[in-house]
Amino acid sequence: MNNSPDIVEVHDLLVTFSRWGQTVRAIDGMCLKIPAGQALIVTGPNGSGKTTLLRVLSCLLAPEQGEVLIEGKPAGKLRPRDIANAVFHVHQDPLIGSVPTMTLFENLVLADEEARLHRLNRKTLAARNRSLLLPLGLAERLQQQAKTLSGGQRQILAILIASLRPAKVILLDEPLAALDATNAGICLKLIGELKKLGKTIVYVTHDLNRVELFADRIVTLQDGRILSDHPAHESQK
Amino acid sequence: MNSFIPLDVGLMTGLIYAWPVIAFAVAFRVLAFPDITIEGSFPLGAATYGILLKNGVAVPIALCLGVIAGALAGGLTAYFHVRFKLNKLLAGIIVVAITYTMSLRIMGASNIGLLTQPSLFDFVQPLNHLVNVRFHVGTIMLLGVLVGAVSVAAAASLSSRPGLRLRAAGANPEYARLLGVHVPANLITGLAVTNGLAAMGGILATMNQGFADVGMGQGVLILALAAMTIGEKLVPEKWFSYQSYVLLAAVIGAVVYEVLVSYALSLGLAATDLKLATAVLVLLVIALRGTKNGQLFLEDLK
Repeated sequence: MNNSPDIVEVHDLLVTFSRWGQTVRAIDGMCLKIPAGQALIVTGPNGSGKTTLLRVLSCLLAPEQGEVLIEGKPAGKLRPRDIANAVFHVHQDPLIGSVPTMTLFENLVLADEEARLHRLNRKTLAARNRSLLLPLGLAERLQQQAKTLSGGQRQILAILIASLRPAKVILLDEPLAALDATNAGICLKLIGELKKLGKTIVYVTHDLNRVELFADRIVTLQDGRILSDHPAHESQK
Repeated sequence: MNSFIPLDVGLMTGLIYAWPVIAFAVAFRVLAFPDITIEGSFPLGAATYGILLKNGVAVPIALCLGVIAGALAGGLTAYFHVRFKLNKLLAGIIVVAITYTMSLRIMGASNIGLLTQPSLFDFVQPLNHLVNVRFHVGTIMLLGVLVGAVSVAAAASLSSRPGLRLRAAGANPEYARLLGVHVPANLITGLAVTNGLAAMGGILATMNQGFADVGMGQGVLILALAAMTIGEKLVPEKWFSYQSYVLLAAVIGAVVYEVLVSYALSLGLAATDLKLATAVLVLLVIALRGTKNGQLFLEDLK
């Protein structure tokens, strides 16, 4: 049982879409509390509201009804910079998670808030970024553009970038979709390290087998509602 | 001896038109904004500079205000795009129309003569007579230093942290928002800077030719496209950082294009056929590079 205070609270959430003239309830009266540091796995069939939930949590989508609180503050009232410092979203599409025409070095410098605050010089930054990329097999690509990486390597870079952000909540939307076993393994290791850093993880997936190493809790959605909510170890029994 | 004249003219005009080419290339390649405003900011800068000079304002002040006028035009295009969700090309078309009227209003006529007015080139006139052939050594050196300085400054700025944020806002706005980058503000700033550079090109052209004309922006866009395309064909991307590659390709492309045009005109190409020849050249270069990377321009225009 996690006794940490809730970092994300979702109260009575309602999100609707209009599809072929009919109103579809993508999220239908959902309530959810996520304690700080927890790795929450959100699963469910296609159209159950998983991605919509992530979009609301990352403030990309405003709910019609209900409220999202991040660290006790209403998400709708946060400024863009505050949102960026509170929540970071890793998309399913690896191309969204970095700037293709920037080198890996530049991508890491852009995301690295701690380095910015400490005003690290270029030499220190290069050493720091090289050490970050070394265990991922990307150190020698430091000065190459991100667009030269494969899709899997781009996703590794996106998750590494998430670890450099000050955001305490990391949202991952099926980050391993379309990744081969090697790159998926590296991504899972990085996600495990995000958890060790104390980040709260909300991870959307269809594949529960891949998340058992770091999952704390599993929520299953259906038709925009929570069908089941239980600790991860219960589903493994 | 006459064979040097096209080279002389080509180098001078190339280094002048390198400014709007840099503006177009940075907007297109770095900010992912196919910005046609340069066709308006180029003459707007010239018109503002010209009328101020004619009214006795000092060259540096007139120059700065001319650049600011161009920057405002660029900022307006970006504002129309981010505020009204207007298509990038349509926003540019609207602002070009606005700047045409503005240039006419500012000058009070379709053109103004400035042959008797002072200019930056006055300082280097003695150097122009150093060699016996007709070759504007001083003017070319000054233009080269100015273009070199702005290219180095631009490359350094685009490598700095604010520059990285600007590049992220242009190349991947959705990701930039995740990092807390204010995308609209960065786009407005970026286009203001690039169009300020285009206006500087217009001012230098005015200084060189001795008059400002409301129609001097016509053809700048196709020239910029041609020069950028040629430059990118000539400069190897892997040897440079992305921003240095874009800037270097713009400068080299502008100079090579203008030298080629000067020689073509001296060999008998009718000036009336120049735009057609340019369009064919652009298509030819794109077709040639298409064999290596066919989707490049399609992707860029998404």
